[in-house]
Amino acid sequence: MPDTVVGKSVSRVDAVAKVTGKAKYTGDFVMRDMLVGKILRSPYAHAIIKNIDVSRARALPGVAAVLTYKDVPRNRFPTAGHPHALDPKHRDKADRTILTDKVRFVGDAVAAVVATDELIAAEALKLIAVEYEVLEPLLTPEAAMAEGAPLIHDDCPGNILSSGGYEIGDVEAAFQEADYIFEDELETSIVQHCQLENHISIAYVDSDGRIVIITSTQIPHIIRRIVGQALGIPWGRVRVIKPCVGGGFGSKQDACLEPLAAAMTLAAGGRPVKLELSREECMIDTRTRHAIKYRIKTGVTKDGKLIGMHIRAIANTGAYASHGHSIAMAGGSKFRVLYPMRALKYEPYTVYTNLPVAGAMRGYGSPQITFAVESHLDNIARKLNLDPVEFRLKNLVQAGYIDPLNGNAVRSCGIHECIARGKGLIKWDEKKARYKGQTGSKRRGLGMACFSYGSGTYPVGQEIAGARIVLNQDGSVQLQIGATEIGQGSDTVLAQMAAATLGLPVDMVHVISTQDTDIAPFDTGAYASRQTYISGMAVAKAATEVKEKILDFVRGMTDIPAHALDIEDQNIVYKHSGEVVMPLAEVALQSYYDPVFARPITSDTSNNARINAFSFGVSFAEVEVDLKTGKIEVVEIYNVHDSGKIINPQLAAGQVHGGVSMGLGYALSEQMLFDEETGKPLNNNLLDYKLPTIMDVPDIGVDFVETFEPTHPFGCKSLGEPPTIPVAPAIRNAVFDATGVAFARLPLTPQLVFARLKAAGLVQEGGDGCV
Amino acid sequence: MTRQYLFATSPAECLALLAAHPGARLIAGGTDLVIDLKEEKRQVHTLVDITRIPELKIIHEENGRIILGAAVTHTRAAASKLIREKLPALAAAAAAVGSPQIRNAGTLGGNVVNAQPAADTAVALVALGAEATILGPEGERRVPVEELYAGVGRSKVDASREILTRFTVDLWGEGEGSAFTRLSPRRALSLPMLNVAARVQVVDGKCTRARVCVAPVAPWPFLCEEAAAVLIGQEPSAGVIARAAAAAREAARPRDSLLRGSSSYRKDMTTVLVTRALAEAFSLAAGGKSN
Ligand SMILES: Cc1cc2nc3c(=O)[nH]c(=O)nc-3n(C[C@H](O)[C@H](O)[C@H](O)COP(=O)(O)OP(=O)(O)OC[C@H]3O[C@@H](n4cnc5c(N)ncnc54)[C@H](O)[C@@H]3O)c2cc1C
Repeated sequence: MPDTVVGKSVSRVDAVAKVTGKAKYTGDFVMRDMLVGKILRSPYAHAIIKNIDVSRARALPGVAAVLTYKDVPRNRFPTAGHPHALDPKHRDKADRTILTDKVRFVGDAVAAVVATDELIAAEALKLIAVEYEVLEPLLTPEAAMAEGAPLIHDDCPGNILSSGGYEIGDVEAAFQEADYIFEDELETSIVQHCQLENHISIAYVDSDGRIVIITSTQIPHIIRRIVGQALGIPWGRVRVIKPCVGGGFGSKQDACLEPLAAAMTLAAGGRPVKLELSREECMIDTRTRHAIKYRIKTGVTKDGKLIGMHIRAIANTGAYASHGHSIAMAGGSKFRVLYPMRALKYEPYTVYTNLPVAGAMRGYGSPQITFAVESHLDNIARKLNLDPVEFRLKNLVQAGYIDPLNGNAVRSCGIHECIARGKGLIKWDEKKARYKGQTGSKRRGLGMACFSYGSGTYPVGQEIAGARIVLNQDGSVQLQIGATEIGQGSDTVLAQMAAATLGLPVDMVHVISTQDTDIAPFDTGAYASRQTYISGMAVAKAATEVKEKILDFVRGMTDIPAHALDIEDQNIVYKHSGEVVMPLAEVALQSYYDPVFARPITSDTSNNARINAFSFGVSFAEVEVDLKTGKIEVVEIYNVHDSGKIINPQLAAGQVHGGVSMGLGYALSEQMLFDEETGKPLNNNLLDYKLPTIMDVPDIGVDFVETFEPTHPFGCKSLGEPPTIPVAPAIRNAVFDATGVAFARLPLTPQLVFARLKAAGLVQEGGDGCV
Repeated sequence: MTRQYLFATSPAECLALLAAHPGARLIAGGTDLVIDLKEEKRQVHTLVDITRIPELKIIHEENGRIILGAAVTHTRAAASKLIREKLPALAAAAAAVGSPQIRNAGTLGGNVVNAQPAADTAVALVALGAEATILGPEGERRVPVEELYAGVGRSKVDASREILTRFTVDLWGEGEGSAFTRLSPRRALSLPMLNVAARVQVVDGKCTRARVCVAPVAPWPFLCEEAAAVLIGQEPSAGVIARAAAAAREAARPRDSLLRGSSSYRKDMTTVLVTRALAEAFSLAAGGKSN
């Protein structure tokens, strides 16, 4: 296969459209007679709606419809963006209705208004009178699991959405044999995706009476199904269109707006309705990342081998299930290949509370458990007086390992090389020696953390992907994919794969970026870092089929056997000599217009990938801690990844930059805060929620160890989510190294750090006059 | 709901417009006011914009004083050579506000009249001993900035009938220095958890004048006389600075806020920030370079 396109930093196929503002996002669709939808939100975290009077709102001129739970179908539906499970036992929890008669978090949708403009809609919201019976808000998993706590969902005893993990080997027996036992408790915070484009949907009823929804989503085909379920109508009566999307990070791997938008247009006689959330709404009523508390117990032998680990986890899933049940499990399984041990027991509880809904967010449970396990490992290393890197090297996975529970195999494994490179980049040994015995009020430290991750969800989830390729009359192709470009660059790398297979430059591959469920091939969407790997397989398959058809057509034209031919540089060539037979364009034209043999060449392919591949990587960080204020500065940070073959180095580096800065925020400053009594959000805006700005992000070092993953035609593995996973524990471990204080929760805000430093006697009272 | 947006071309016209339109209020950069209007914290019928009044935008030195128009933006205050040289605390405070967009729009006058206790440039102006000139229907008055506060978010300047036109800062002459320090959870777009501005003068090796302002440790920018009292008459040294910082810590009464920081943390940080601000101010007073 000619390698002129894959592995090259070709420009994004949508770069020009995006920087010139021509790319169309949902908000750019302006329609005649379009109405505006707005949502009335609950001021209480937990309450029953006793009475709701919308008569004054309905009477307001300009109001087209007012909806409460009484006016919409009462079907219960799940919102998580997963493939539909044929087995009812494996389906996502259906705990939502379009509007509710019981509110479960501050901001829960109580009623909705459709009006001719935003001001009227806002006015109308004020005219709705709601009488609540306020219930006790349960804001922590402990409160929700306490005996006698009220039920957030009547059918969910103990407010426990899910439990049940796994045990590999016999953990208690392993602990018996261990020379040392270590225990830690660690916890993470609730954070938000903060993708650039807020959630937005436009819905209308078309001339055939079908519901059309233009929406900013990662999962158009799944949204079609969920809207069908919510409305109780055949799924084919729903059409979902995904235009350009300004980021999602998992918050759009969920049906947040679409069922309500559909109900709104139905209530407004089919007129188009735009439902767009403000940032403030987006931060409370879409999805968050689960805060999870861990208790970890680990058995280690004298020579530093991990032999048993018992992890208990309690995940705060907020008011509705969303992905909650599967996130605790996914986190608990993707990390475990990193350090294969004789015994591993994982016991997660996912608990409802009266807080915003936690769902999918970049890493899907892995950032949390990786923070916990990698911090715990550094605590152990210090107690055993082992270098953290050496300790990990004693325990790391090797190629050939097979996960005993799901059968996924480690076929390509660059983690050792990633660590070696990272160590070199940050000058680990040299600086470790230099920073010994520091005494000043600013202390430097080094830390690192590793991760393992999957490529897609197999075997837990189905991994179906679709691609369609049409050879045009000029020898270019159209590439249509079922999975969704949401800013991550998948259209470009998939175009590169098609181009490489077909001997074309990338600009001869015209990618249809919009997914329209009426037209686009079926694919479950953008999540689980699956596209380059999973959707890439479908693209390679479709391109290979088109290539075969082209060569076969040439055989018809020339009598040269197809197996002797290849396509290179837009020419049909002899495979062995490279001698040009004819230009591809000539074949293409002939395929359309040959009076006898015309048969335009296309492929419409689906691939059910019953396979997975583990990607690996490491983050190395150097920090400086100001003992006087508790402020942490990240001085240097390097992420080194084994994501197999890198299809587009520049896009891959961009993915790492974004992931690392997301990890920096997770480590140091981001957390959603709620009033501890009422559950009211305190910082659901970008001024008070401390997402790092460009001023806060240091230079990020990126490197790749390019293994070749044999299960993929181009040798690649996942890279979308992974960069964010190891960052927070690497920083935490660096702070541990600098101060000797074993921090156990995120984020490491100056106040938290200072309090622990003070307690540890590290803060010298009085000023030294230093600035 | 706001129905009218008018531009005043002079302070007198501004007063006339305010008087002529009941429910009118003056607007400068709008970075605070527009949010209040959106959140319906204020009902304003007519907005009178003062950003096109030339005399409100001056920055100059005149007879040993610095004059700053109330509609000078943070960007201009931060970039002005005069301010950076003569009033470095103010330049640093202005540079710390929000983001480039906010600094391009937000003004010194708005920062003071909005009356938040830890507004950055207000804290610097208090430490610098700035006086505000206010023009109202009853005529003109001059009031030290620290005396303009009636409570959190409540200014004694009534922007529905009065206009703050300028700030005047007397230069102290030989041996003066000023500095501003701030603790915030990120480097931009971040309201301070704590900020401190200090101005000192050293003559013949002794501190002759000192003003230290700490916020938010009171309902308004807190001019900490206790800290100043420790300094005056003393030879600047690490020990003296530490005692002044300890006095400031003692006097500070920060509140507990989940969002902005606990009382105990901010009390501890008062020591650190006052120490750092004073150390820098004294270093400048001794002819050092500002960082
Ligand atoms: C995202 C963001 C970040 C911010 N970050 C910071 C920060 O880091 N530090 C900080 O201190 N502030 C910050 N602010 C607050 C704000 O930008 C400042 O307080 C700014 O100085 C206000 O000035 P303005 O001209 O925009 O005031 P406006 O909003 O126009 O007015 C504020 C109030 O003052 C009155 N007023 C304005 N000028 C006069 C005058 N000349 N005479 C009489 N009354 C007057 C108005 O009527 C109104 O009541 C931030 C704001 C935002 C939105």
